[in-house]
Amino acid sequence: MSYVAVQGGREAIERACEAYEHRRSGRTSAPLELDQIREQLHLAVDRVMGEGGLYAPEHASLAFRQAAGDTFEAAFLLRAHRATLPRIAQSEVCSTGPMRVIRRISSAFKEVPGGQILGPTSDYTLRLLELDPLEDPVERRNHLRERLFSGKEPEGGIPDEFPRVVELLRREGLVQEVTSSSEEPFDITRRSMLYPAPRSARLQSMARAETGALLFLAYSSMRGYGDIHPTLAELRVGYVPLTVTNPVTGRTFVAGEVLVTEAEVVSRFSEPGGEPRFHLGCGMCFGQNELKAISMGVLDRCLRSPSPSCPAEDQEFVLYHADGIESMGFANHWKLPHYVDFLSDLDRLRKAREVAHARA
Amino acid sequence: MREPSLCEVLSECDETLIVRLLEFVPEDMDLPRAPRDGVILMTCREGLNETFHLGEVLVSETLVRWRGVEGYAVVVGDDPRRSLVAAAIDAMRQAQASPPDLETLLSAAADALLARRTEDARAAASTRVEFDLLPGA
Repeated sequence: MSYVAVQGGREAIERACEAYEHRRSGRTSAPLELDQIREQLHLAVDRVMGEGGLYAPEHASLAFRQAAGDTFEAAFLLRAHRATLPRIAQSEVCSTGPMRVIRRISSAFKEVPGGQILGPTSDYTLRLLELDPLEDPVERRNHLRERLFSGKEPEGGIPDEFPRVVELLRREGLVQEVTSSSEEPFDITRRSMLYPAPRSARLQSMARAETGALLFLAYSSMRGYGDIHPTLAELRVGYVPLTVTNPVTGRTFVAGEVLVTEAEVVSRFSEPGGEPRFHLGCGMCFGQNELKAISMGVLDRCLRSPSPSCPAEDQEFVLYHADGIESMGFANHWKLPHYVDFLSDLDRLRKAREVAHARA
Repeated sequence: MREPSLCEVLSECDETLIVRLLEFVPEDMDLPRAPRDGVILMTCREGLNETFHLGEVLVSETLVRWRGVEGYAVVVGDDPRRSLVAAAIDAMRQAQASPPDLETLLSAAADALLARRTEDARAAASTRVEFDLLPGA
């Protein structure tokens, strides 16, 4: 089945676009300002950036507003905008070592070098709706500020660099190392991916995949359609310096900071004839998107399975279906006119029924 | 805490400072590469030492030439004025002709950025936790 080109209805289409815009802009509520979206709906903005593959908080806020809160559509807008821009350069290889951490936890060890930093999170709330519209939001903001920043300096401070938790396991030889490729990382935006895909291509593909798709696939493995039972060695959220090279002097400099979430999961694995070791799975994405990074870490480990036995371990299954813009585009295309194909289908069905009735 | 770079300061400072700093950009400055928006492909190294492309970052880039030196800047975000100012300051500093008033403004902006980051660190430090296992666990 395929869609067909049609013409006509231009005025109706224009009105439909205006009706969408009118509905989006609301009837009586105050217009949404971009800084409100960027600051107060930051998790949605982060998700749009990650799935759009472009770190641009202002533009992601704009896309989120234009898409009336639809993260698929907003990520599509952002990725389409990215396609209009020249690629100026490639960064130096950025490490999360010098990350300016705002959150860092480990569920593998109670005590980790550098300490556990809960950071801004709703993990420990009761998920009760705050039905208190009388509270003044400005007053509340000031109260929170007072609680966080007044009083004596917290003990310990935040170190400039946190050692990786997984190094504790690595020192004991408990981590199965992966031979990393010495080649330039694969770039899925410039070359078609062939399977089996190199790990760098898989990581890039998952870094811009749709959060729900990654979660769904990782969850299937965690629940039993697969054998990855992960432990979160480390989850960190923070700002990583974007380092680029000055083409005139050849010296490197920091162009700005990029908010990133990184997750490292470990799972126990025994290879026939080999020593049991932990296998590490890594997830990393733009913004604060912990579910995505954890899911990606689980799937990174799943996709290295020597004998794939379930959908989450099948490279083609995972990577072909996890991109939100592709899957959303395909599902949406069913709304386009399929009149000719459907009439043909209808015709064949009627003829088949005639034959069936004649036989009866 | 790491000292913020010139480009970091200019990518995060207030709009009003950019307007003031634009007044310091020499009029006789050439623009071999006028301010333009684009993307930087961000490449990262993960825990197993694999390098991969995390995604692209929206930036503005400018290359200027002034008194025989070339100033270059890439600033996160798509405001061309910010990369123009950064490249101009880079050139002026190389030519050792950066006005003291300009440096004072920049120094104050760097301090303000550092103060914001220190505040972030303080908020994070206040959430440091030490878990105790329950008896018998």
